[in-house]
Amino acid sequence: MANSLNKKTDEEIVSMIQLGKIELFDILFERYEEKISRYAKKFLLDYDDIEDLVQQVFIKAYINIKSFDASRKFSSWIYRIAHNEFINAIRKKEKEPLPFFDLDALFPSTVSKNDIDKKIQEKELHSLLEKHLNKLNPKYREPLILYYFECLSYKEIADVLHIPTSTVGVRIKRGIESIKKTLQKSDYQIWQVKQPINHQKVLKKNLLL
Amino acid sequence: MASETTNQSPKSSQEKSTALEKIKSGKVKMHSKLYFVLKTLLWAIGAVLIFIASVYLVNLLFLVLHKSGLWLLPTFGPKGMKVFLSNFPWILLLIVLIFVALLEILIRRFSVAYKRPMIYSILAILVLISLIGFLIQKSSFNEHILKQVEKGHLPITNRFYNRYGMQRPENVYFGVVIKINNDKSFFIKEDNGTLRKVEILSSTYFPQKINIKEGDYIMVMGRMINGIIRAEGIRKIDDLEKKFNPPPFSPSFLPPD
Repeated sequence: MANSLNKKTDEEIVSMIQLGKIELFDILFERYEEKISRYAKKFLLDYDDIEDLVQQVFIKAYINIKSFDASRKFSSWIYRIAHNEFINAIRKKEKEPLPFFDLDALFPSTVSKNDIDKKIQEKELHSLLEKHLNKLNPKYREPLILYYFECLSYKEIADVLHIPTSTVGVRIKRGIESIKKTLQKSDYQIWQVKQPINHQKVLKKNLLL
Repeated sequence: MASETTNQSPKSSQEKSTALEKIKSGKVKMHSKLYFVLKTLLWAIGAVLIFIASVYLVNLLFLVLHKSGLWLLPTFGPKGMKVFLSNFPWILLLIVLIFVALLEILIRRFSVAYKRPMIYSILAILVLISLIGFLIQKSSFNEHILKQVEKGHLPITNRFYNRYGMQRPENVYFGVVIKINNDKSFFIKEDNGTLRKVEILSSTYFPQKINIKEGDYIMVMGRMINGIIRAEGIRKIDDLEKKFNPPPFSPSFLPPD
């Protein structure tokens, strides 16, 4: 029984919960607990109530589960709940600037709507991002986390952040550019001595959107 | 990544017990389907009401532009444009834009809206409400409402229409030419029956390059000095423009001087 349930998709399990099998919510919790925690820990850098926020995400998902349309992706839906929860936390704490209105999503952009090739130098890029994420503005940090750490596609990120797919591309590009600038200013030269070729390749590949 | 997961394990199990325990103990209850249906219905009613209000205000904006003759002022060149800008109902436009922003916020929750740049949905809303507002202005709806207001059947809206719908811009006159004099002046009879003398100056601007004849329905822009309008611009109102810009309200309906 448990094995057959594990084979079911998120959306199939949600449909069963909506029909009254609320105990199956455990499965969704198991599947997403680590992902949402990781997302929270990377996005909310020095917050002491991260665990409470993660719990709140699952409680809100449970409360609102009957509003979920099973023809859509559950992962985007729960990440959207998490995004709202975390953004509210950032606004409440006022630790970082978070504009109410963003010009990025107002006008069409020329940046490619296609995903960057993540396979290239993924490990190096991950370690680079981990080190410098805290220096980024939340609006650039979040799509980078969702793309590189949560492995969501541009389309899925667009659904989570409620912004156009092209804007996701713009933010990822600007986030990487921002990290590149930071590297050039600070420890890039030190890093370059240790691993010059890989590091440069990673940045170049990812800037060629 | 692996070490991170291992470090998190004790905390994760605690999170699980807390969140799931709350759910299992019944402290947290899921909302019913009806709750979401009602929420969506409320949202839809709000969106429809804001949309109707926006269309009404745009229609009122067109009404003001047409009835006051404001829309013809830019044809008098820079001076006409200045009068146009100083008399434009900016407050009405500002309210329309606030309503458009509200509508944009309401539709932003749908993927059809948020997956495209915001400017597209804003333009789509503006085009749609402008088009419907314009079509209503062209229909007999406004005339019907204005007649009701004139008869006093709509007392609450009377002030509102007086405020926005009845006023002529300052120093702008409409009327039929009834007599042309030899001293570069002529008389017009305004729609409310008032006779006005108009003086043509060397600087008077004629956007249409026409000869004024008796019986022409014209628009004069100019200051009145000693009971004579010193024309800065004169233009004929042709049948099509008259259709868009029907004569204003009866004298009793005009706001007091």
